[in-house]
Amino acid sequence: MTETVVVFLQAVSATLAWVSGLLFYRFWRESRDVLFVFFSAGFSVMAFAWVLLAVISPTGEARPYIYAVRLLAFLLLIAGMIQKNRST
Amino acid sequence: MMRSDQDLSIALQFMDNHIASLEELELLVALVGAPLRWWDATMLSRELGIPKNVARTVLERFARANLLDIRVTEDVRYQFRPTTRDLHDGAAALAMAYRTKPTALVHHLAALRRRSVRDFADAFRFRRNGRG
Amino acid sequence: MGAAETIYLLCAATSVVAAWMLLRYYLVRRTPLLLWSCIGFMGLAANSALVFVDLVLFREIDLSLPRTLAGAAGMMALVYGLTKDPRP
Repeated sequence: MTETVVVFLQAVSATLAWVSGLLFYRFWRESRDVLFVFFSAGFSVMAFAWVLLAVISPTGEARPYIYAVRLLAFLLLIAGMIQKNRST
Repeated sequence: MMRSDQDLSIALQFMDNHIASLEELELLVALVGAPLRWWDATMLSRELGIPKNVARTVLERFARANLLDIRVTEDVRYQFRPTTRDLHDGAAALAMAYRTKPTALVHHLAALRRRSVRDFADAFRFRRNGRG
Repeated sequence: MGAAETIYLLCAATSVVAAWMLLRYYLVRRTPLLLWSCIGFMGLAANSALVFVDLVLFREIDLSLPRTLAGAAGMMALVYGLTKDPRP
């Protein structure tokens, strides 16, 4: 029962992260601020990380392919934040 | 010149407080333009070409903001009757600006969302350059 | 501390930094998007932090439900902020 709820919540998170990616992309189109490209990519990758968890192994956060994807997502966010401070 | 700038700035301030979309702007202008008339959502929807439920929601919101008087018959009807002088002047300035400087209003509406987006990006600057 | 723990700690730290920067600017500008995004990143921080705790404690307690809930709640707050009426 708990696992079903966990998988459901991971699916919700994945969908919302994907939507966030789309919204950040739209913000980039409107503002031309490169931060949003990084955030859009980061959240899209984060969505993929949640999909992997939900579909393959809901409690498998310790698995390398899972945390590698999560790391990539956050590196993209960090890159966006760093880039924001270098261009201004 | 100065008088009209002042009016525009009153109009924009009123818009910041009460208007979030083009439909709301058109709705308010229609109400201000016919201040003796009692409107309902159906009439406004027909006249402005906006969905009835949108008109109804906006009318309710304007009423809650003390811009309109309400009368309940078979349908709920609204009349433009702001409760304070400031509200009245603001709405009137907005209606006037809609006739004389509509592009300024439309740009301001779009800028509201742009400001929000820009604020998000600016939040990630570690150092502030004095603008805050 | 293994790779997984380090990475989730990094994710949590990044989320906390992002949340803090958004909060700091929200206190100046009062833009709703900033507050909701801050809450969103706090949810992500909690999600990553609870994974870290779970890994470090070797599954003595199963935190899969609370951490997934935190992540989903964070994402809901973020998407709400990104799509909300911009008027304060």
